[in-house]
Amino acid sequence: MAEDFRSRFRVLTDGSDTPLGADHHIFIGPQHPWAEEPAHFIIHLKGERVVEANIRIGFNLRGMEKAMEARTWRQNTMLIPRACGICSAVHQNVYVRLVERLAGIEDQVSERAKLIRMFSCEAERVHSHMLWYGILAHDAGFDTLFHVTWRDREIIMDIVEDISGNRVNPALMLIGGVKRDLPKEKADKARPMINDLIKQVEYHKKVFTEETSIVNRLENVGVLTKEDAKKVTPNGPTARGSGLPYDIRKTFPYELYDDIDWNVVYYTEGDVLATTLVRLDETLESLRMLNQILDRLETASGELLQRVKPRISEGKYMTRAEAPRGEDIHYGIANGTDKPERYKIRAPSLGNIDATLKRMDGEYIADMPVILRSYDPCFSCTNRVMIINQSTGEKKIMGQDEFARRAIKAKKYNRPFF
Amino acid sequence: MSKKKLLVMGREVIKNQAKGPVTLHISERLEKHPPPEDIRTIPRIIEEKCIMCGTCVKVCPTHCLWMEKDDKDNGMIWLLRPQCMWCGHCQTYCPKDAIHIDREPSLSVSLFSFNVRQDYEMICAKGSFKGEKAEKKLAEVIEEGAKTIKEIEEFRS
Repeated sequence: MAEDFRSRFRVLTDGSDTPLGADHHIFIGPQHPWAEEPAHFIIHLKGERVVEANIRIGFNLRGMEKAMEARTWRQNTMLIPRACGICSAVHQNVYVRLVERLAGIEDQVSERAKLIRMFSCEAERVHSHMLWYGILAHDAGFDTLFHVTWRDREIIMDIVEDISGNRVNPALMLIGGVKRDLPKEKADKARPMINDLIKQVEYHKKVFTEETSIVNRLENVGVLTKEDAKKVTPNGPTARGSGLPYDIRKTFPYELYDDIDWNVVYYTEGDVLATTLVRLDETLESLRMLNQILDRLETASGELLQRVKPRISEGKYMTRAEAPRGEDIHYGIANGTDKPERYKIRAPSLGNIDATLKRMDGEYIADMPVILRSYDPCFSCTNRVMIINQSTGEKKIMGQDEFARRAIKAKKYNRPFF
Repeated sequence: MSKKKLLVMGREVIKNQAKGPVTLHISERLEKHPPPEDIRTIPRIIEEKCIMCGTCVKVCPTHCLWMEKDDKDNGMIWLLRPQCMWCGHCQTYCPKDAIHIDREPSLSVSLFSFNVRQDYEMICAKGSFKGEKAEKKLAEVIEEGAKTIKEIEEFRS
């Protein structure tokens, strides 16, 4: 299996790792009108068919993990949702569960707090998926659907805004519970809106399955078979579209996901249409879960916030959760003070890149935007890796001061940085 | 095209004509769709309840709060408004419930205005710090902020 696998991540820029048989090379990014994200795609073509597609990442290192070491556990609760623009609640959920485990209070979190956390996560999944299949329709040249889905997305955004006070970044979770309650008036206000949205999403699904102009663009495009999927290890909806029914909420349940009635959605076709349908069905499933959570909140009781001491005792732990894009993994080490010793985030997009570029093999170049969009690229949370080109074998460690001084000098005397 | 399809399309056209445009002007939209009641903006401190313990300054993730104090009755706290991200940590962790989050929606658009006089705000001044001392400190931090902005602009040009 290891011999078949060739990683799509590239470091060299001199073209020495070009695959055989390619006669044209197309470079996309880091700045490109198609992608909002800073990634460099290298697509090797023979005629109109793709031989191999590669990627270079690491254009946007924000140094968040290092920044977390300088802040306390409490302050980091508000820094961690900034890891991703869309799936902020899930990052915060993983973080607070990690810290609760390290502090030894994971059993004391009340049922009500857990339900509100789940509501936040599921509402986020709904708006993330709706955003994604809107953009997919736009990439496939069906702008009407793009406008329709984004109009309907406002319904769930209004619910999130009403409950948390913010549209995209609810930031409801805290170590030991949640920040705000979800009172009955707001639940009653949200219920008819959710039911409206269910009807709208069913309509979107009807368009995606019956409208020939979009089905022809997506069906049998970028097929990733189950055998291939096992080699390149995708996660989240990308894996579930290829017949791997793997969902962290079901396989390793956290919060109260095992108490709520829901099903894992998966398709076996493996093409882009299958991943789209996975996300559409998951949106419906999440909306039904939102209704269930609101019903359970009427009777659920308990304190919203447990008191946690600012100092976290020594230890290390890993938590994971199902983000809208896939599996989100956090790993943290505590050293007994109020600040983390080390913190590491593995965001889902990184695991999906290899699988998506595998889809490109043998496809037409015209299908490239749709296939590259299929895994919901989100590099703001992936780019936490710095790759150093060591062609000369020379290593140099540069401190922050020297780095800043060099930058200022380069700017002042108008000369190159290195 | 079949007759039935034409009829369906015609109905849609007439319906949309009667409904008018879906897109609204921003001012019109704000009238019909006001911001939620629980919108989060900058913190406010009730001076009588505040004991100048400094918890809000310690838990603030963006370091937008500063404090100067003699004892629990004499002190002041000031805020750099654009740096505040309205997370509400100060409200959550305040031991005396002295802090609440302002719900005035117009405050929620306070990005860096590059007008330092608006950016800094003395949100709490108690005892001997009230009045002259607080005003003097505010003028000082505004001057410092203006210097920083000048440096940034010089570096950019």
